[in-house]
Amino acid sequence: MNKIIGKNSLLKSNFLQLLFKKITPAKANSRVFTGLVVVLAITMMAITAPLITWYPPLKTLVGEPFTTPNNYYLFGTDDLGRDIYTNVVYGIRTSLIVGLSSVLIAVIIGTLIGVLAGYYRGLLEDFLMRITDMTLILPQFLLALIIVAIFGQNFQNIIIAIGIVSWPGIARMIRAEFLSIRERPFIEAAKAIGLSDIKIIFSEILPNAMPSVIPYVILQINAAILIEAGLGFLGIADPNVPSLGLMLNTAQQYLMNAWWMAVFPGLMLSIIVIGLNLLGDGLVEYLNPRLRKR
Amino acid sequence: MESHFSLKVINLKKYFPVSRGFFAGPQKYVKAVDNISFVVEKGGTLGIVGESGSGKTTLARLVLRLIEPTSGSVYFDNKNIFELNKHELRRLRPQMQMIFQDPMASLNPRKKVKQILAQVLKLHTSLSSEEIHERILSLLEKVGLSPPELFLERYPHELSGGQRQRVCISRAIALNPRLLIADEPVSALDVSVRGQIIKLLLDIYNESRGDMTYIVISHDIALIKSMCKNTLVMYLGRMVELGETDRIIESPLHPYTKVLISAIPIPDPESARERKRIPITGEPPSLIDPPPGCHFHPRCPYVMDKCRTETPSYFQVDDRLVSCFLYE
Repeated sequence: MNKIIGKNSLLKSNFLQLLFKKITPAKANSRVFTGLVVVLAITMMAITAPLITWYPPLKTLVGEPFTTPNNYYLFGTDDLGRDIYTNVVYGIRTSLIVGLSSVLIAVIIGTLIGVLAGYYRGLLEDFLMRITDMTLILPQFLLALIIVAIFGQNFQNIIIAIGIVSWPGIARMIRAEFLSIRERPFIEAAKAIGLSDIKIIFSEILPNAMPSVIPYVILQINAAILIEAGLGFLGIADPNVPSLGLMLNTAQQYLMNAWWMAVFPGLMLSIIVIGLNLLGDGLVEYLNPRLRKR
Repeated sequence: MESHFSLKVINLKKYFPVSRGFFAGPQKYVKAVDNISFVVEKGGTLGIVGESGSGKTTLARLVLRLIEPTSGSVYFDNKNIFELNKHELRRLRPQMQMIFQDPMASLNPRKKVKQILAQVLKLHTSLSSEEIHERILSLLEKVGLSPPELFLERYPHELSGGQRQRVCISRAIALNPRLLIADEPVSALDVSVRGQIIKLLLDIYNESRGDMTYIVISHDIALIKSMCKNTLVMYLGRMVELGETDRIIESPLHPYTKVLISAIPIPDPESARERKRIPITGEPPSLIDPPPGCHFHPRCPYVMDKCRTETPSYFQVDDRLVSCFLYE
């Protein structure tokens, strides 16, 4: 009996260690770990936003305009008397929603085009890849700017615009993976069994392409968040949605006398970006043994 | 109408275009399989030998229509498989299976043994999941992976080379195929497990009692001798000799076959010393620009003027076919 209890407690104490052995290689990949912690913390903040803030977001005059940070207004208030802490927390929410949903759009378009080009080859591939190249040479940021300017500054349009400018990279990546995996013998074996194209694509090739695609997608989320913030900083944002970029835009007018208006949103944006970057970069290395440091 | 024919291959050709520069002149081709015909009767065994690059694997892939031919036809039970549409072909698939050269590469690295086998069974049978589970267990037992429960949850990288090939074999025989093509079934394996795998393949063949037709591809004549009644010798995409394995080994007709047979190592040094080895000169020519006439003429000890310009057709000697002007 004692022996069993001893074994159990040993298992428990080693549980975290074991968990990370599963996530990271023998030499702990500290970048993946740090990135994961930061991203999880930020996600938790975004999810629990209503619980950890005590003013409604975007509501003006919850305090005196330009209040310096204090116990009631942790990050101070802005020119309209909005609580910056509240808006920063809700701003994270916006950033993550924009990042995830625009990349979801990009992944859907990119996968469709990449799969068609990489699996079926031929003229279709040439056609789709030239379209991809044409989209790729346009500067992402400017293209997004133009799309929002044309279709109107609302939240949905911003997400769609960022989605539209982010798919070419994913399409190229998926195509490249398909080109290499489709020539591997187990695909021929799958054909010999009589699997349909759809099944070969989704149950044989795609799962094997995931290790290279996932880190790239995480980095794309990062890029999408930066584009959103960039657009906000230029004043292209939905004024009805709290946005870190938009806050920075307002803050620059008062930089000399209200530093807190710029510092806290900027800091939070940096933390999000660094966290996602660490996670994505670390994963690239972790999932690709050739890049792994000895 | 000739219903006893299991597999009939007629004038099969596969030319791969070679991509060249824009101004590089006429399009050239690698003639991987050049005008090959043969018949394997139901329950028969055919070995295909030849050096690397002689088109053995391409031939196998054509016979299963894993790639489309340049021309020619393959009759499987009097049906030309190149005339079937996608749907019909998919229904025929379970009857013709292949064991691939590299067992590691031919198993999806992200699937467990259980999933690999269940996939085949789900696709072509309407068994319930319990029945599928039972079948998987009995299949694994049959290919010598016992106790089978131990292997269900394993990924291919968690198996040894021999075990992987056994999984591949179990996948190929899962649906009781009537034609089984083994493409270099043991060349990727350790010498120590080769014998076991060959024995397993022979056992499966014997158990089928003449229902299963085997095609074994190898560069190893000893392996072909132990498994196949008939042998087809290939050189640079062409068939040079076709006949009974024992006869070919005893008295090879084509100069290339003679050279090939004389290169088999004999384990007894005494008799090895007595044997006259036929030296082969030169090296295999480029596949893109094969020599004109008989492809073998630059290396052939019996070369005649005719060989340099004309391509020999097939001449019948006893019950064998030889592609050489010596037997005209």
